Parts: sequence; structure tokens; C-alpha cells
Amino acid sequence: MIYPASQRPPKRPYLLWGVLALGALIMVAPFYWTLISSFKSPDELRLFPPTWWPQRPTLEHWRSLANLQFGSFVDFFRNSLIVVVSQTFGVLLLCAMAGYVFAKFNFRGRNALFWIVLAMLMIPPNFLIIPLYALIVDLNWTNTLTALIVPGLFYPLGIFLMRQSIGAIPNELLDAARIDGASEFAIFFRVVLPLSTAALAALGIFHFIGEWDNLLWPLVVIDDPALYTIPLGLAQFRGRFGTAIGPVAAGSMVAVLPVLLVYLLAQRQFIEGVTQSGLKG
Amino acid sequence: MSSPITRRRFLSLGAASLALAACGQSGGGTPQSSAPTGSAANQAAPNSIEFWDWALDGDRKAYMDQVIADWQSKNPGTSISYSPLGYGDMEVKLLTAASAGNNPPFSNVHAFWRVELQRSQVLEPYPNDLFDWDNLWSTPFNRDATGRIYTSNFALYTDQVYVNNALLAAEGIGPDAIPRRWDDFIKLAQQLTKTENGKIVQSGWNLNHYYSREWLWATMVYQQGGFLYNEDGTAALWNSDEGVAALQLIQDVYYKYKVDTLDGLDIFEGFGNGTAATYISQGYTGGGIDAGYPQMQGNWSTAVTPTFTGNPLPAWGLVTPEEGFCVFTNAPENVKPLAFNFIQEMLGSDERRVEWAIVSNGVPDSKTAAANPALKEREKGGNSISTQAETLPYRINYGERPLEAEQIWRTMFDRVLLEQRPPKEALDEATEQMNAALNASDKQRIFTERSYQAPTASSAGQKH
Repeated sequence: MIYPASQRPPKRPYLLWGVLALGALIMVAPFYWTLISSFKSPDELRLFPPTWWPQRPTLEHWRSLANLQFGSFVDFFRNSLIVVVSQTFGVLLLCAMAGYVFAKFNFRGRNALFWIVLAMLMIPPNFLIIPLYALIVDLNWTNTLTALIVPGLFYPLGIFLMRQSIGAIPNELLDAARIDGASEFAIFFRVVLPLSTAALAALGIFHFIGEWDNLLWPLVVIDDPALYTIPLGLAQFRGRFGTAIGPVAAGSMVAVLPVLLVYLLAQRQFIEGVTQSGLKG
Repeated sequence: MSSPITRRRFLSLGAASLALAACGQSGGGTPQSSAPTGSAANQAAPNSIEFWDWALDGDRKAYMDQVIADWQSKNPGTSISYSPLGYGDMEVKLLTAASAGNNPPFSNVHAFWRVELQRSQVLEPYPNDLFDWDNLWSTPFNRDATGRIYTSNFALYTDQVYVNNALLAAEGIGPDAIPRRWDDFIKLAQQLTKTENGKIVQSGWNLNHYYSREWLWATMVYQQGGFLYNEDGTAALWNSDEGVAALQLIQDVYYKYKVDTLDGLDIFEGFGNGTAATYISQGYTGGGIDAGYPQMQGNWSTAVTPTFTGNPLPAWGLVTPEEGFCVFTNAPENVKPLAFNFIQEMLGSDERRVEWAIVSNGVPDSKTAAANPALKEREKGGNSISTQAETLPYRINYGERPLEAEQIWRTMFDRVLLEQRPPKEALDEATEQMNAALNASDKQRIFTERSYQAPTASSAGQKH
């Protein structure tokens, strides 16, 4: 039976699916490679041509995480969680506040101040390492988690993102709250923040992922292996004669779990936030 | 509408985060010793001092722990701790810390940037009586113009030929049959090179490693009696006849003799995977073969690097030092003697130097340690240290490696190998750039290659 065009089932976009599947494969490939490397025996790790599945799987690399030369992986994981969670929370609060001010308040110098914030985005972070480190030394914060947490609270990209998101909130909502007698803090916490959850989720995920993988700053300020974060802990596998790929792969798999969890829990808000703010990942 | 985030809830979340952060606090402060401040004369001995070092591979960490334990037993009341760093991370951490005056009292310092620190006067010269300097191979190239020394080396490395015994055996060649002249070695490499459909699948001589090329080029310059810099260190001589001939040979490896391909694996991957019959590089690379490629254990050995004439004079080539410990001038005055004392514990005897050489896969920096039987019993590849030791008396080190040099050399090799430009043209360009850099600053360069004295037949291997 021939159906009229309006009643025919839509053509499946096989070509599009194929392209998307290929893209997904490319994105997943590094994770897969790291996962199988964590189970490969030492003589298989550097084989060429490489093997795509462990021929003689082993758990020795995973076991080595419990028997490190310096520090303990439990410490690294705990330190990373403390630093990144507390820093992310601080960033969300501070950036939301700053974004609200820039978006909804008129005051002299507002635009100039915001341009300064944007200008900070143009400065490569590495340029700031030495002066920031000198400041940390003066504050006697070296070799502390405070030195890892506090500098990261000042996040220009987050201020920009929140300003964009909060700017879309109708002023009438805020005026209505003011008319009802709400204080500015009450307006911020009871009106602005609830309407910004998508942007907050996006900002939180961006920041969490970026800081979770941060090696350079912890390398500079932390000396005691008991305070190492995961990237710094894994760096000890880069030795004089080469990198111990197996333990690094195993450690990386453990390290990526919180990031995956955060994304899985907040992916809906993340996508909404990216869409609303126009910010690409 | 979703339930609002109340101020109380938000602030309680924040307080929880801060509490988490507070749980993770350590005592703050600098990594320097816990010595009290005050004049050196009034200070008590510190109860701990710290150094920074590369994250130590296997044997080396075990030995460092032993040295520390031995020192602590001789210095009760003072402990030593160290912060391990991934190799390659030390430069960022140490130089950042030094710029803020927050470096540890002493640290392992890479040879590439030690001279810059020395010139900036942040390093303390070694006491004259710390070692028998005349007995050390490194003394001539570690002394600055005033005769002071700022470092001591765990071991010294020379280049050598790494040989895949099985691939040679397949050609009926024993590992002892590696020729000592370049032209004969190239013929062997051609014999060992295998191709399929016009593509090299086994290279007879793998040279795919930037640093190995850099070191080999310098080695070949020295083998021909040339130098890299003029006598007063104000100009580079890279485009000399010797420099051009050396770079030409490297280019010919790929395009004339066709014993390697730029599309192939690098020296480690190729050798470990059995697709490179030989490679030439510094001794330290042998330290990682067995660990990185367990299947190669017992299947490789080494041979001396060929020369143009087959004999070691005028020189056998470049020697490079394993990094060494430096003491910083801003270390507390009561800590400096302890730091030097620890360094003396680490390297003050032939037994110590032999052990460091074994774990580093280099030659002990001691002229009297060569005959130590432990070297022969425990060297990797069966002969990796003895091979290097044979050539060491004929080796030259250039002293300072200008920070600008590496980028210039990398471009030079790209011109010659990727763009197939004439070596003379590439070297003229590189030399001009280096001379511009030398002339652009008034830094007093510390080139020591002219301190080399070719051994005579009777003095080779003996104390100079």
C-alpha cells in the first residue's frame, strides 16, 4: 500500500547517526584506551602495533595505587575532593554575587570594572604563577590546602557566565520582590539563584573539571606528599627513565570517577546552562 | 517552581565546605628547615632539613632511603626529608620557588639550568675539601672561571650503541662485532635494515629522538677535533667544517643510507618493540629498557660509539652529567654545613659513587672507582657501564648549555631532516641565531669544552 507523503514515516537520519556515532567513538576512545591500559601487563603496554584488548590482564597496576612510594592515593583523592568541592562552592557563591551586581545594579564605574574582569580572561594563567606564589609565601600559606583553595575562588569566566545568565532575569521579578519588602540578600537567594540553577550547574561543572585536573598550581605550592592532589600524586610515576603507564592509567580511572558522577548528576542543568549562556564547553 | 535555595541552606552548605577544608589543613610555612631565625652563631642545629628530588625510580629510591638512614644515624637529632617530583616538573617548581626565595636549602638541580642559577649567584660553592676533586672526571667541566664548583654528579653518561642481540643474531652477527668506524657501522646498519613494499619495517640504526640527535651531533664535532664555541665563549662555531660534516651524516642516515625512517617509532619504542636493531644515545636511556620493555631483558647489550677514524683521539665525543645536588645561598647558615655533609655522605666514597652509577646506569664520577667489581656484576645490558667507562677519558663536556640553544637546534634539525635543506645552510642560520643571543646579553658564559685534555696512552684511565 502506498501512503501519501504526509503519512509516510519520517526517514531515519542514518548519515547523521553515523557521524554522531563516529564523534562519540572518538570522544570515548581515550577513556577506553586508558581503561584497558590499566589492566595490561607491563610488557604489553608499549607494544607496537598496540593491542586493543589486554592479552594477559593484570590487576598489578591497581594494586600499586595502594602501595605508592610517596603518599597514599586515598590522601590524594581526599585532598582533591576537599580542594575542588570547597573551591567550587566558593566560586558559585562569589561569581553569582558578582554576576548579579554587574547584571542588575547601576553604579559609577560598573562597565569599567566589568571590562577589567574581562581583561583578566586574556591573561594566561601561567603569567600569574610567580607573583601569586610570592604572595602565598608572604601569607605563609605554602604547603597548605588554603593555598590551593583561595586563589581559585577568583574566577573571571564564572563572573562573566553568571552576569550573562542573571541578566536574562526580568527586572520585574526583582522589583516585585522589593515591593514585597525583601532585602537584597533575600532577593539574591530566593529569586536570583533559583532562576540561575542551569547556569550555576554549568559553571560548577566547568570549574570542577578544570580544577580537578589542575597540576601546575599544586605542583608549585605543595611539597608534602600527604597534601598532594591526584594530578600531583600521579606525576610521581613520571620517573627518570620513563613513565609508569600502567599505574598512571589506573590512577586516572579512579580520578575521573567524581567528574563523571558530577556530570551525570547535573547534565540536564549543564546543557540548559550552556544553551542559555551561549557558552561552549 | 523548584523550592528556593534558602539563605540558611546555602550558608550551611558553605560552612560544610569550609569545615571540610579546615579538616585538610596542614601546618603552614615554608619548606625550609625548622631552624630558628637569628645569627648563625646563636642557632641550634635544626631538627629537620629538606631537599627536593625527582620522583625516584625503583632502585634509586631504595638507595636514597638508605643513604638518608645512614646519615641520620650519624647525625642524631636531625632528620632529612625529601619531596619527590615527577621528572620534568622540577624546573617549574624549583625556579618558581627560587624566584620567591622559598626554595629548599638544597635540591637536585638539572644540568640544563644549573649554570643560570650559578650565574645568578643563588648557589653556594662547594667547600674545597668536600671531595678529592682531582679524582673526579667532572671537575674540569664543573669549575667556573674562578675555579669554584657548585654541583656534584651522581654519575656521568656517554653515548653508546644499544644493540638488539636477537636481530643481530638473525644476521649471524654477534653483539661484539659492532664496528668502531662510522663508515663500517653504517654498512652494518644497512645490512640490518629491512623493508617491505619500499617501507622500512626494521631500522638498522634508529635515530628518532631529538636529544639523541643533539648529543650525537656534538659528539661527532668533538670526534673531528672541533669545538662548539670559540675560546672566550663569545661566539658559536656550529657551522664549522666539523659541524657541517656531523649534521650531514645525520641527514644521510635517513636520505642517503636509508637505515631509518622519520615515520618510524622513536628510539625507545622501536628498540623495545624489536623494530630497531640499534640506536645510539646516552647511557641513562639504558636504565629504562628493562622496566619499559620487560621482553627485552637479557636481549640487549651495548657497544662503544664509532668514531671517524676508529680510534678515540682526538676525542670520543660528548659526556653529560647526571644531575647533581646544589646548595642555595639563601639556606640558613646553620643548615648549609648539614646540606654539604649530607652530600658528602651521598658521594664521598667510591662505594657510594659506584652504587649511584649502577642505579643511574652511568659511570661513577671517580677515576679510582672504575675497577670496582660491583660495576661489572650489576650493570644493565651486561656491559652498559663498562662500555661507557671505556670511552670516558676521551670525553668532552661543553659546560653551559645556553637556554636558547635547544630551540635553535630543534629548528636546525627540522630544516635538515624535514625540509631536507643543506646542513651548511641550516647551520649558518643556527649559528647566526646563537651568536645574536650571545651578543644580546653581557652574561659571562661558562663554556668548559676547552678544558679537555686528550689522554696520552699512558695516562688514559689513570688519575690526572
